[in-house]
Amino acid sequence: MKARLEVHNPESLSVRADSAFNFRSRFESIGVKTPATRLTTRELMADVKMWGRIDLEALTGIVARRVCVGGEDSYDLSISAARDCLSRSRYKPEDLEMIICCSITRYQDGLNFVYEPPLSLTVKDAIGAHRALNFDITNACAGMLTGVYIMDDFIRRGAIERGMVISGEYLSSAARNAAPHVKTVLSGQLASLTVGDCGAAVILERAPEGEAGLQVSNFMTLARYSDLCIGEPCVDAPGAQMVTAARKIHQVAISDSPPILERALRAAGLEYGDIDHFIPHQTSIRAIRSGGKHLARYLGSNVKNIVTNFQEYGNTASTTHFLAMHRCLQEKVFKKGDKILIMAFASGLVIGVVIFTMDELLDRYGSAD
Amino acid sequence: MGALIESVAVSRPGLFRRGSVDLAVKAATDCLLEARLDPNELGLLINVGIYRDRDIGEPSIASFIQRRIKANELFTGSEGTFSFDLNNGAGGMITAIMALDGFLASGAVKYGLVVASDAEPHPGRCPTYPFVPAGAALVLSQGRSGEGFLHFRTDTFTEYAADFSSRIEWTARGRKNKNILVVKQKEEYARHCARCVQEKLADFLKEISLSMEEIDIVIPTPGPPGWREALAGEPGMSERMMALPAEFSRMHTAGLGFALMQAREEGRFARARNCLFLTVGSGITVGFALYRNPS
Repeated sequence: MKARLEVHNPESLSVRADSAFNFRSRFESIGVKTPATRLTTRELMADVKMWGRIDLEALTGIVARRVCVGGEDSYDLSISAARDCLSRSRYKPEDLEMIICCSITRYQDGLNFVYEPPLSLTVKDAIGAHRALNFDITNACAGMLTGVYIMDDFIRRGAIERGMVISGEYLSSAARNAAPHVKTVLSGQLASLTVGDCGAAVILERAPEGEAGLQVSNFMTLARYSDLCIGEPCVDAPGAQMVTAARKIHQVAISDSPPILERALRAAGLEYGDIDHFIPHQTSIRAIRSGGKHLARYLGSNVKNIVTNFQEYGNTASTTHFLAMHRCLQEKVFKKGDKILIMAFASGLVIGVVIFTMDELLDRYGSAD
Repeated sequence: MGALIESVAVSRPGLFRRGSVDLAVKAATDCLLEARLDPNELGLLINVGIYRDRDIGEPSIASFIQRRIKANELFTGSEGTFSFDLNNGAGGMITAIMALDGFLASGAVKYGLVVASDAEPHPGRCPTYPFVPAGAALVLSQGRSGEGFLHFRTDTFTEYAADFSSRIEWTARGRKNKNILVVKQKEEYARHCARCVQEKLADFLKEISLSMEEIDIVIPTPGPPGWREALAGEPGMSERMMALPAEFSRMHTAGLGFALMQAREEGRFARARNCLFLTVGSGITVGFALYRNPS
């Protein structure tokens, strides 16, 4: 199968120079895939032999997470999420012009981590998106939002009209591998026990003329903190291990993000209090509560609702925002016209903001509104 | 108004420079020096290197590079630098330039840095690892009308997807199992790469309304070994394509940077008006890009 995409600059194509960057993008469809197997925090903690007791469920608010079993992997999660996304979309696979795979984990055939060919090539072939240009990106838990950031620019400049951003996170090997090594609450691998598996996919399309579209802004990397969370292949087991300076990364995320968010809100012409739903990275109840309080104090107002779903799914890394959004769409939490704020916090340390107004995306999930 | 190459630099291992991040930082630092650019002016940093120190998967290798070159390590209230890794095989550099191009054209970013470097993740532990360690970096800015990268095209040939593959597998090493990088390359890979380019070259030239005679220089990805020789029969190709040392063929994502560097050192790049960048990589993915030097 052959796929092709051309990106022209105005001089080499009969596109008027002033027509470039007149476009906006928007979310057209969102799909997810969570593995069927549910692993509770209590079940996971049964394998942890610590000095003293720790109630991880009370500490994090995470009751359970979904985990891959029996050969499920990043590839399966990505494809299933992409198909779920397409099933709600008015587009067919062959309509997609770009596919970006964004997961931290790229496991195929179990726990084999694939570098080449890029996972996006395998996924696009499997779903039949043969026209699409494909590439992978990695940006820790900000992966999918980085994919949105890149694709939004391709749509804004008129190079493409639609594409799909995909991630298939099979992170639970890091949790299993951490269990024998966590001995105290200060363990660097304690945060690994909070992760869960999930696939997510989102189609971005050119927004109709006159619509505000996505406001994708203020993506930046505060690289001074790049070594606060390191994920790599495990030294003594298949899969991954992750070492996190959890307290420090939480502190710097809270202290450094308010001015960045303030700038993004100003660019969108909004106040923090204008936001109806804030979707943060789903880490833990304490982190989200204290972060929310700090933002409200700094910005002088508060959002109407902070979306959480970590209780049932844990921290699903780069898929976290779209899993949360998908659940809200299904549970009809959103209304048309609601202002949604999505904020990335990721190892690196990456901070990024996406703001949009809920539109007909809602209709794809059977809302009466 | 395409992305314009401000500077290019390459790096090879030295006494205290062995890993992929070391190689990337050396190339990036030299590149910024040549461009006389303050690292804090970089809006985007894209790392396209694939084989990285310890196979680190999180955070992005780009964030380590950003830290080491001291580009907006913290948010100071003005502009920041955004970093991420991009993987599109050996042709990642052109994909990254294509991604960067829009941000430069819109003015969202004034300068961007594309970095490529590969090194054996655990030296001596991956017997199938075929590449020599190398790094390269390009600083790009927004060109004037009719200058810079003007046209990109990418084609994939998934029927050859198994020709080149690499993955980390849980494999026996001595008496224990370890997570080890395993690289597999079929004998026909180089020949297939050449065939894929031959199939699409005429289409690309038609799209840019140029004949091969109007292309002044062809700057290719040096590897895989033998692919450039297999393409030499293409009319007009052999006299335009850069002749590169055999060792370059064993470089991976940084190879294109080395080819460009050689073209600059030989003066061929400066003399050329229309430059064709030609990339091949796993997939098989072939990339074409027309670059027009400022007059």
